[in-house]
Amino acid sequence: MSNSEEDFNFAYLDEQTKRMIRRALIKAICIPGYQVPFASREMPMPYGWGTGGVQVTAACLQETDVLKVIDQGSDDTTNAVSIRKFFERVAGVKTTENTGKASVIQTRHRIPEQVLSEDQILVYQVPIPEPLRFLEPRETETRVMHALEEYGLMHVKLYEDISINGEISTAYAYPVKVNDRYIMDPSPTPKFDNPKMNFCSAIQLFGAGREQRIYAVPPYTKVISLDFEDYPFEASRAEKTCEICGATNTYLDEVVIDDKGTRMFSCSDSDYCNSQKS
Amino acid sequence: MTNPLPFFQDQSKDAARAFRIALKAMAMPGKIQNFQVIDGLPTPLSIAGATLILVFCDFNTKIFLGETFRNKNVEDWINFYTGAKISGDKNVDFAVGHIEELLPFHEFPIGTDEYPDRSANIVIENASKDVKSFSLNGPGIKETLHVELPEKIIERESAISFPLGVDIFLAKENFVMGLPRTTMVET
Ligand SMILES: [Zn+2]
Repeated sequence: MSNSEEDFNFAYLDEQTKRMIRRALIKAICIPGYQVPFASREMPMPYGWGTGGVQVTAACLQETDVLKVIDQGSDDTTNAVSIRKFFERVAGVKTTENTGKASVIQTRHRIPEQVLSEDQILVYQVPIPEPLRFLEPRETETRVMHALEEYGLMHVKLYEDISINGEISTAYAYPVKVNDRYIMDPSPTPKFDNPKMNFCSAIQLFGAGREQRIYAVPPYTKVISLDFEDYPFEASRAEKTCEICGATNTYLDEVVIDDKGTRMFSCSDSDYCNSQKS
Repeated sequence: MTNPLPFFQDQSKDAARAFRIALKAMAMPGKIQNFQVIDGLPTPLSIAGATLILVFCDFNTKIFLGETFRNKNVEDWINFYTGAKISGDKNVDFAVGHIEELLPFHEFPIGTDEYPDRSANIVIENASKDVKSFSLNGPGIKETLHVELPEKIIERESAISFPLGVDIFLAKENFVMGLPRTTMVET
């Protein structure tokens, strides 16, 4: 039998690689927020295209899955479409744009607006997994800081932010503390999405390809955004209404809609937006 | 062992399905999940125990076997299907046995401060024997669960100092339940 499709193992990766990733995933679930090292493989797409997320998805996918892939909330970007097509081809899974119908959702930069369920897995593509990286570039040192729970510098950084800007200006990749222990980078999601991680019903898995790290948050786990008593965390969003569906509670993108530069606010989560207008 | 595989007919797809069940077991501790039934296993290995070995073990893995599992059939089976090394000591990645053969748990690797993931996964076989009711809380548990666990499970405390610890799968026939180090087990 000779068919180009048959040349791939199910879900692209060989069994041994998947086993290695699966061992890392189990440890990640057992130690919420801790970054498990793994031996990242070359994938048929460049770094920055979510190779970490793709490997996690490949290690998780089963035949009966329905996969959704979003990039900045949209199912239609080149990145989302190419990852979706890749898994249609190598795993033969069904795909969907409907959040509620997906069993596995791979995402870059957003958490869907629709509340997720216990039967869903959310896989995040992570460029920089280490939340302490900008305070301490050396991996050996950040590992010690996590081991000793030495997180004072992180609070100092956020507080400096307040003294300079009058508020915490970090808008993306806003650090969280998981299960009262590890400080974790939620990937470059807007901080508006942070509260969705707390006590989420779905399994949340994070894959960083270039940095070779996997981490996870099990369902029903405490995920708290770092803040201060006098400057409590705020899940901010543009104080506007979606001009397509009228939603007032979603994360909005400001998009240019014509060549005169006219701008419009609309839901970043395109599936949610479509489901609201009727 | 020239007979066709009696299980994992399509290794890739069966392993994927089994992994998802194992993942769910650890992600939602205290809830019983069930693996697909397979046969042709060497006694006294359960379907759940054997499936977990197939999903997680290969030639990079060292396995500790409890006394009653140390027989030629089990060892040949593990060797043939996974290539994993059977270890005489408890410095392993994976352990399978009856609870009393595995105690004390703290003799297994519990990880290091910097690498708490370098710790053992332990499969407790025949986990419905000598049970007692416990309440479970922690990540993955929505509301306090009351479940029957081997009464000696309480000895796992000595092997846990979060984030260090061992992670346990309770196995019986094709049923599996996860008990990660994060789960608080109380009488
Ligand atoms: Zn909208």
